[in-house]
Amino acid sequence: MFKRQQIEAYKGITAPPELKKRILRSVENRRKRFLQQSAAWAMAAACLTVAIWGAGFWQNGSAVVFVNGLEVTRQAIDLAVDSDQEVAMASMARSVEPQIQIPLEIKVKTQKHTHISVSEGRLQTAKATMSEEAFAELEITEGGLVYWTLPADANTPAVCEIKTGGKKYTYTVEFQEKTASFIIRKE
Amino acid sequence: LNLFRNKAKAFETAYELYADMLYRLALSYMKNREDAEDIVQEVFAKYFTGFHRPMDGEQEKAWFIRVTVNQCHDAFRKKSYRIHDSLDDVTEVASQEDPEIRELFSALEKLPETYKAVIILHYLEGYSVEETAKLLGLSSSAAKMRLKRGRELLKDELEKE
Repeated sequence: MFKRQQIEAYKGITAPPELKKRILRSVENRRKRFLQQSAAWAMAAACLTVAIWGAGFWQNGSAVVFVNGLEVTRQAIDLAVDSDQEVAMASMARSVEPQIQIPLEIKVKTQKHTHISVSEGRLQTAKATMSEEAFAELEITEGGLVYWTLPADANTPAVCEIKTGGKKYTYTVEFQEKTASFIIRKE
Repeated sequence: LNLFRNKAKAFETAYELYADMLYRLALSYMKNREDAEDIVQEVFAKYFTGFHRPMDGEQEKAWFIRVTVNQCHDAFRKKSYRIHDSLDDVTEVASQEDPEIRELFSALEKLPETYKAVIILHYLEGYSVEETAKLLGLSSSAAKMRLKRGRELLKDELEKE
């Protein structure tokens, strides 16, 4: 197909040495922006709190998920932040800086063995130290706090599946272009 | 923040393994150094800052290749690329001013996007048909068909040169 000299000349092409430094600079800038924006997101944490309560709610192995005190049903619950400024940030996070990560705080309280998995992002229990890796799947045996960190450029709907007592519950998070906000609903 | 430290380590390894190949791939699509560098930068930034499902070596390589190809397609779609009429910029990248590389890029330039990646991975990077199919997420028969059609088109172009 190609001459040997052509293949050799092609494979002789290497990335310029300065490119690696350029990428690292770019990543560092994104990291700084991420940390700044994460701080702003943390201020809206109350709006992004998803609580899965066990005890009284876990009846016959069933799961009930709450967001900001509201039970998540098939009716979508807006995870949008309240102020115009924060909504703008949600929009910006999606369109201008697709790498921004949206921390969703998930409270889990159950007395049953529960398996949680997400299609996008990572789960980490609040007990986990920073050095522990976050995973897309998690087993919990006791109550506690679970963080679902979802990148803003994640493929949506992002799905969170909770399996307990032989039943499966599916929750999806989607980005709504119209309102520039994320919503969560039970499937 | 430990996540960033882990990613920094993974980045170092991935860069050593894939940067040159991805740069050549991007250069074949974009036909100029600046855009090829931008594409590779964006791909590695995505790798560094995004979350991905755990990947083994082959899956990771496939991820890099597919994201690079998609990034090139996106650049064309958004018209966010620099227009270069000549291939001078590309040929300067080669270790020496080489008529062979000019001829090669000239032929690749005329190849439709659909066939470019399979041809590059198979004939220039040396991957088998099966490997090429896996890397691009194609069925084996689809990869074979694209190679056959791409080969015919390239043959015509190379004979014209």
